[in-house]
Amino acid sequence: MAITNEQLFAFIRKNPIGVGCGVISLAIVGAMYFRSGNLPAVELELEQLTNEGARLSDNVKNSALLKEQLEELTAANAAIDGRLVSARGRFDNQRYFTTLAEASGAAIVSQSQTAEPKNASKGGFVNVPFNVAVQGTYPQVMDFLRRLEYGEHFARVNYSSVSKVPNDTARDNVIVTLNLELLGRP
Amino acid sequence: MLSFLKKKTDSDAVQAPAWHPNFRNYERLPDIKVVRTAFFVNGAPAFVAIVLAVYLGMREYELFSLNGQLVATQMQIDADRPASTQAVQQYRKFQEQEVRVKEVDAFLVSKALPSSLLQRFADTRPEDIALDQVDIRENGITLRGSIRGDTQEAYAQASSYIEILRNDAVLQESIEDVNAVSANPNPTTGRVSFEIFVRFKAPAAKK
Repeated sequence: MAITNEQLFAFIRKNPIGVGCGVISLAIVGAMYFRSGNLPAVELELEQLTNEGARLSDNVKNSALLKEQLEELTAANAAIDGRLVSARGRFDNQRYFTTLAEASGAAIVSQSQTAEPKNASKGGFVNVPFNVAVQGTYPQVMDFLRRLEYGEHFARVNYSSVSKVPNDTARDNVIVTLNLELLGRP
Repeated sequence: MLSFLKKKTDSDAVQAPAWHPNFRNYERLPDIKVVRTAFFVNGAPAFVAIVLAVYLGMREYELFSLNGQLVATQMQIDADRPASTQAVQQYRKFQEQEVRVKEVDAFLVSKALPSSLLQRFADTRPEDIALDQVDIRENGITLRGSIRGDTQEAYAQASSYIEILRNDAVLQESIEDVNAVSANPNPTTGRVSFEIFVRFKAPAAKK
């Protein structure tokens, strides 16, 4: 039983509010359909922006004392640079051990820079290796070691041997043989 | 009798024959129901339309609100970005500087200080024991020395010295164990020569 146009128009004329509301409802459903993707997209964008904002805000917050800390660290590194030996300055390096020995009262028996340093580390340092033998009384040798360990240059002793000096008439002299590295620049 | 007092039922009315033809046109007669049909025909779509409109309005308001938050967040980001960029650049420089300081620190603490060890051996050495040679290597320390006195007593003193070294609070921080390597009487000197090996603790594995 098909509805004729006349019947349809008659129905519309008879129920204008109902038909109008139906049309409005359809329009709203259509609008909801077409705009249904907007809300999730905006929510996602907001989440991303919020995360980004939180990251930037954290960066700013956490960097409150960064400038001062960086200045301190830079100053510390400048001090470190001042305490490095030069891998090429063999004579200066040998003079350093002689100075330590003179200050402690011990005597240098032998010293040599043993090998060319390997490639620089990430921080730009090289370990400059030496063999040093020092002779003196026990207190003198201990003083030499302490001056070396806490001295101007950064030192690391890989091997050390302390023994009595053979045929020592005074019987109180010892000899210390060291294989050590000084921290240096290439 | 008294049948005329009885209430007539609907079936009676239907059964009664119409006394004239029914000319009523029901389509043109007014709707006299308590709730008229027009109310449902117009009310239901209106209700649906209102509900949908309210729902759509809420969603649009939510969208509007979110867009507002987006703008506010973007403004905050724009405000923070220069300071953040500067902070990141400073932090990179900080890391570069920090690497150098850490390397120096690692260089200095990677090996034991010979002076501290020698001083400790000197402090813990019993009176009758003389240390002739101390070799400090990467994995441990070799102590060579001699002990005065009777051979049996010298052996006992060597064992006692090992226990002293093992139980020394300062050395315990860096050593794992102390072991006797050898002990031999020396007829020339009349002393007992000994050798002890002090093993360092293995360095902690890097994580």
